[in-house]
Amino acid sequence: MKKIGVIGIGNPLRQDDGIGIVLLEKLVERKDDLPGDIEYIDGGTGGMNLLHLLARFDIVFFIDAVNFGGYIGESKLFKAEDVYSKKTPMDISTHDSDFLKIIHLSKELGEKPDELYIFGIQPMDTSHGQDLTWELEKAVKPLIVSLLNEIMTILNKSRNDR
Amino acid sequence: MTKDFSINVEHVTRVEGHGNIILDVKNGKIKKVEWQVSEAPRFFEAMLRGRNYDELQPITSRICGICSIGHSLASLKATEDALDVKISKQTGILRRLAINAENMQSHILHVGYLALPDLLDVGSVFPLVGTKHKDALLKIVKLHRLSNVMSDLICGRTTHPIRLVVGGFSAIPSKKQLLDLKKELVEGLEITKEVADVVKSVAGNFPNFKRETEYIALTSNNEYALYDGVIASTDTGKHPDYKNYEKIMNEYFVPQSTAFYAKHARDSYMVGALARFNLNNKQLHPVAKKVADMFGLKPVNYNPFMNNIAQVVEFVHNIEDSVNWIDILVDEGVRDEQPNEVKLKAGRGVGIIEAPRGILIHDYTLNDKGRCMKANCVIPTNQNHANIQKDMEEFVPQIIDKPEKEIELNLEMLVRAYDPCISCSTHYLDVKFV
Repeated sequence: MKKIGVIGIGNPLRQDDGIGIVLLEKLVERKDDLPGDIEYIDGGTGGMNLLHLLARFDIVFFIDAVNFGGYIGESKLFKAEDVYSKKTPMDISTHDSDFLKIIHLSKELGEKPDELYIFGIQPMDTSHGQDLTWELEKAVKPLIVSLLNEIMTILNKSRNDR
Repeated sequence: MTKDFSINVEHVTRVEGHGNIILDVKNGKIKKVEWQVSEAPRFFEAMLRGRNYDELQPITSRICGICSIGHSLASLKATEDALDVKISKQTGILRRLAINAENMQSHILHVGYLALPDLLDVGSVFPLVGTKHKDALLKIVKLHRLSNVMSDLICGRTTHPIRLVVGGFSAIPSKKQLLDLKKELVEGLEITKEVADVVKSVAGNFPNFKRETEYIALTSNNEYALYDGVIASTDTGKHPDYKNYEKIMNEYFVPQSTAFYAKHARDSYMVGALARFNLNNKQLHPVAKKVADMFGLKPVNYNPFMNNIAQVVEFVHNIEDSVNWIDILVDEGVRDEQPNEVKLKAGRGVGIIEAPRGILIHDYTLNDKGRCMKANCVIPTNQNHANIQKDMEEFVPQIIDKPEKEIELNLEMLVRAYDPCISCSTHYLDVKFV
């Protein structure tokens, strides 16, 4: 039985940076639409404790604000391999460099989950402030649908591959 | 020598919070050397006013993401002191396991992730993975994970405990869970010895700097004091009158800091692992004593850089101590007991514990409805700020002929040796408008 984790990352006191946590909470409300063996985790703003979290799972989905130059509220699914194989991978995360460095460290220590995905959401404003910007807020509903679809597609593929 | 230069480290990295090092040298003479604390105050004591007695622990836990267990325990002890609530022997043991877990979490994080990169000449912990030290890094990660697992089990969460409540615990680990933890701790002790060997191999890179100062920590006749004891000083001995702690921790303001400074018998004192070692080393468990001997650590040690080594020694002690307490709990039978009952009354209570960075005090005055009317928290890092400043004043002339980059690194290493938690320390500020 593969262990699956969905980890929301972000700081709700930095407006759109909190989108990872917002989507995680919405996803938990819809968890009956997903397999029952998924663990949902509020990963906060990362740090070394993420390293320990990663070691527990075979498949991990991170939900995080990512500056990939898309339109506000656009989502993109990154594979971990895509992210740390780029020459300057660290400049896309909105959480300094720690988050991607932790993934890299996890890989180097031989603890990385077999499959690691980042569901990245293009933020508008990540400066100090509570709540999402209105522009991102209106994208939350379609984002949940995309997120559910992405998770189901990958889990189905993973199960068929076995 | 006619050297002109200035060093302005704003902010020092690999510490908790924001502090600056300022050094200004003209014609080889030191014009200014200053340890500045620039972080914004956080007003926790004001937040506690009007709050119910059972809200004080969850609020004060949030003072710190590293020493949330320490703040929780000091808070509970102060509340229980004010309300005259007694705790069971089992609660006392479980709280000791909780404080050990936090000390381990904090020390391995500091020595492994924050201080070791200085000794191995890398900028952070991440590059170590590509070096011959990868194996050591893996061991450090394992020990950090073990500390988190222990905190999860005893406190219900890695950070910001939820099982620690007034009068006891809201949930008790099972005998099987405790025995599983013991197995991991015994394995962890062997890994710790290997990590200690790695630290030993590079400990010579710590500057050989000494400055006589006063050390203050809890002390106890029964054990190496972390959860319980009386205030003691290397200069003035024991001070059992705990409710008058303000006579020991004389806090005062300086212009360059948003945090209090503190002094007692001299113009500064130090708290933390080295202070505890200097006062209580005879009560360390056997393997911890051996590790201290391996590093040549003897009381009274006046080298602040050796605080790193005292943390390694304490980590070993915490593991041995936890194994002993688990054996006692299991032998006597783990009881699924409820927290002791609380009867409201007006009063003042003071709770003192040793947090990873040193002696921590919470002082609450409650009214007859159990609401907090007044609060004071004395934070370890506050008590170290003046000592860091005095160390810098004496250390800089000894290293002034070194290249600027080396002076800068040496001063950063000095600050890091104290493992300062600056965010905790800037908890209070009197603002006067004129």
